[in-house]
Amino acid sequence: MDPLTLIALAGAILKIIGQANDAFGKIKASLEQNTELTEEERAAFEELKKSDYAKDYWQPND
Amino acid sequence: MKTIQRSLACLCLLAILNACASVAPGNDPVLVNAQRTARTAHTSFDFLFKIERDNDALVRQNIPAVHTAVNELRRKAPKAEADLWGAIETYRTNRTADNKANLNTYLAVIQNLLDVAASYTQQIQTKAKAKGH
Repeated sequence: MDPLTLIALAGAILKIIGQANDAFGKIKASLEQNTELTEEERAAFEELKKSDYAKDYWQPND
Repeated sequence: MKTIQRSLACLCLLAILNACASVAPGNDPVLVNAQRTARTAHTSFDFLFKIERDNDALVRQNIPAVHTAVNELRRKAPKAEADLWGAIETYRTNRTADNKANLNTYLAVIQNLLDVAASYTQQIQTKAKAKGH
């Protein structure tokens, strides 16, 4: 296998691992969420919502 | 497209896990489940709005009713989320039967929006797949 192919393959594997980690991270966080949210978590979620609401794709475009 | 499919699979799994996850002893199941639903709802809306915008031309051209409906959902979702979180906070600070009933009302509203969001997501995904996106 030539070096360029090897590098491309390594990059693809790292990308897949990254996506899998992200997905499993979300699921893990959800599974761990078997308790009431703390004040800090509620505040963090409020910030997340505010941030998302400001995103372009949350705005109607008809 | 594979990213959309993978993300959708993760969302479905997340929703299933949300539904099945237990509640730690000492925590109020009503509150924990309501907070879970609220978080899942926001994630689901965000996912739908993003894939709809990412496929804007395709959706407008092929399933214009979905484009219109998703825009309507964009208008409704923030208020529905705010109402639900308001009801959650009211119940959290004063756990009466009335406040629980009020919370259930807003949970039902968000669940309806989640149902239509899932339907639109599925339609967009199907159309994008058919068009090779």
